[in-house]
Amino acid sequence: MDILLNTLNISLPTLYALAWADYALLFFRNDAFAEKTAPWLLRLAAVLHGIYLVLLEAHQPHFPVATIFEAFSLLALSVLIVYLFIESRIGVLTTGFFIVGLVFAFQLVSSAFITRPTEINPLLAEPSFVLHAATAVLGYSGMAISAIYGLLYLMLFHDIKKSRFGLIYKQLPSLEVMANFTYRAATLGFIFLTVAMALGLALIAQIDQPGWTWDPKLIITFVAWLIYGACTAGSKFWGWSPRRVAFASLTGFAVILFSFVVVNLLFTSFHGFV
Amino acid sequence: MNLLVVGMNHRTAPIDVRERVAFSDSEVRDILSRTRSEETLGEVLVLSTCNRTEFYGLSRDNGAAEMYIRNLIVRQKQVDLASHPGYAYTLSDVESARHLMRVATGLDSMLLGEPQILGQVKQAHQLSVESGACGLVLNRLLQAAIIAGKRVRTETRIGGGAISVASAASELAGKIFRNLSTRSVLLIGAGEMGELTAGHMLERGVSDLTIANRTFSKALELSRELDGKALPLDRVEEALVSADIVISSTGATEAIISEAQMRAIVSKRAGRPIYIIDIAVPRDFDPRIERLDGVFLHNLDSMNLLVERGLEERRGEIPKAEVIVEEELEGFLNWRDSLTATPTIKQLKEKFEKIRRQEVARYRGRFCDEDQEQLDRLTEGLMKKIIHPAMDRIRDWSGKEDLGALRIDTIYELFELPRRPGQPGQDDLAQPEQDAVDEESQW
Repeated sequence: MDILLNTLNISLPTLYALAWADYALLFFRNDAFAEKTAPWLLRLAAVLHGIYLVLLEAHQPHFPVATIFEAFSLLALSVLIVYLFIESRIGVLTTGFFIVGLVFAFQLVSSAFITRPTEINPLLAEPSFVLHAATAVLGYSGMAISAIYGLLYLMLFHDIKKSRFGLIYKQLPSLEVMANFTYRAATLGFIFLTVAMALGLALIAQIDQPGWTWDPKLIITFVAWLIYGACTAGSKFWGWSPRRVAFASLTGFAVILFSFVVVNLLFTSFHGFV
Repeated sequence: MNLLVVGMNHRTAPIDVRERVAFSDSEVRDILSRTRSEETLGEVLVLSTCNRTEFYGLSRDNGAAEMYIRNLIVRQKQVDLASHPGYAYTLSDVESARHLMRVATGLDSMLLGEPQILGQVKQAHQLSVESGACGLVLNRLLQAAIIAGKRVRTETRIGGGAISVASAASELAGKIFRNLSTRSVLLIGAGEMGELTAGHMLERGVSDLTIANRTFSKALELSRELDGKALPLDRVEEALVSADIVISSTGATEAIISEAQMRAIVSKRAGRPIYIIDIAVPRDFDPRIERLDGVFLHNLDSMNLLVERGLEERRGEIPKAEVIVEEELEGFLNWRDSLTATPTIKQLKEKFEKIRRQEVARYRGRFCDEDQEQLDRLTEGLMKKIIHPAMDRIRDWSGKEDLGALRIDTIYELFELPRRPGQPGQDDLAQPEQDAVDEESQW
């Protein structure tokens, strides 16, 4: 089992790197071979990634968020699945270069630093915790996708405004498509994070955790949740322009990354998993 | 028989000459039947579009055929080709085949890679077939040209980028909005350029078009033509609140919409983006409007940039398209070369068949009635198996100049075949093509 897990741990970033190279060829050169192979390579990687996480869970029964590096791997797969759904909906492969790059980065960090946890907190096998963690990961995935499409929207917006008709103009789908995905992914992320936070509060009540109110990780997650809530409401009810929604989404994602990396490394939190 | 093309196009003749030498379908039919009966040209195809008139033919004497076509143009269209020899061009054999393929792929078009020409080539082919003027060779050449045209369209991006201001404007609209069919277009000014741009938007699916013009009757007239609504110019501000795409090309001497006016309009649009194509000179919209969020303002310079980029993109695809043309041309030429082998193959087959029949007749009496059918089948099968590799080899040799001819001569000597095509005494040049038709129907 260890050999299989280690092999998959090395294979996954390699496969993602190959898929990313394929998407790069497609984005920069409209390569016909890459157009045929990239989506299949990515689907193969997604299947192997799923098998890897199932084996990881089976090896030491726990939901794979015991460490930040396990969570990174889960997040990579989750982002990938949401992206594959979007790709099949819009039929445009050129945005894959940006999303697969993020997936590759997440998995590379995970594969490089992942260690087998010596002790598994029994809470990690609790169904309510699994639901809390799963919805949180889906929420973060939606937000990551929203931020990337938001970034692409802003790049194309800027190029069209300034009459720069280069690669970004040529390869990206219309502004409306990207504004749509920025908004939809943000809404999806907001809904899942709302559920995750509600389940988290219920879990805190169960374990009777003192002093959780000012926990840095929870505060930052709450801030990100507020920003994505504003994205959704702003677009739906307050007449926010897609550009403002894109900026807000990018800000929200920056806050999440800060929560993931900086707070995990520099601050102590009762929220010991991720 | 040799291929040739005589014609004139946008590179060689000015538009007033091209207009005069354009042939209608009925004129083409008439010419096709006439040229067939006069027998100067073996097979004929006439391609007549707004940018070119070309006669493709198969002739025994290209010089005579060229004179015949030039005289036909002079007679029928009263164009003085003698005083302007540069108007018309003549290409022979491989060059004429290559030319047709370049035409069908859009490589020879005025607007590089434009798609209409392939349809026009198909139409010309159809007319030639219907008039009985398209024989084996032209038919095969046309098929190869049409395949080349289709391949270039699907395997390259030569038809990709915008190459006119109107198409650039509609391409840009497609980069802002996902589906133009749900978008409303406001055309300000009833000028030719605006009309052309609006026409492109309609081609891309826009169904809601409003035309505003200082002279309302003109707006009304154009709205009837383009199936839109007419609006007086003083109600433009009101229309700008709901329009998604605006094409402006009035003859106003100063901006008709200021930044302050646009700011007020944008505040009523609830964040919905608006795309303004200001192709008027001087400009109709204050250029500072471009700074407003949700407003995409482009002028003639932006459109020209897009056109230049589109042309560059298409020019970049030329080498790929040329490769496809050469591949299809090579396929056609190989096929044509194989035609010269046809008489040899025919004679060889006849010789073997004669021997088979003689031998079967000699021994037929020794077989019962049921076995005689088997005997025929057996000997025919044997003959085909023996002769097939030889036929393939003869076809290979036929394209190989001296060595090939020497080997084919050997076949004639070896099997004592009656006569060698192309040798003294061989006067019917059309015979190989007729033999090829016979061979295709038999095998």
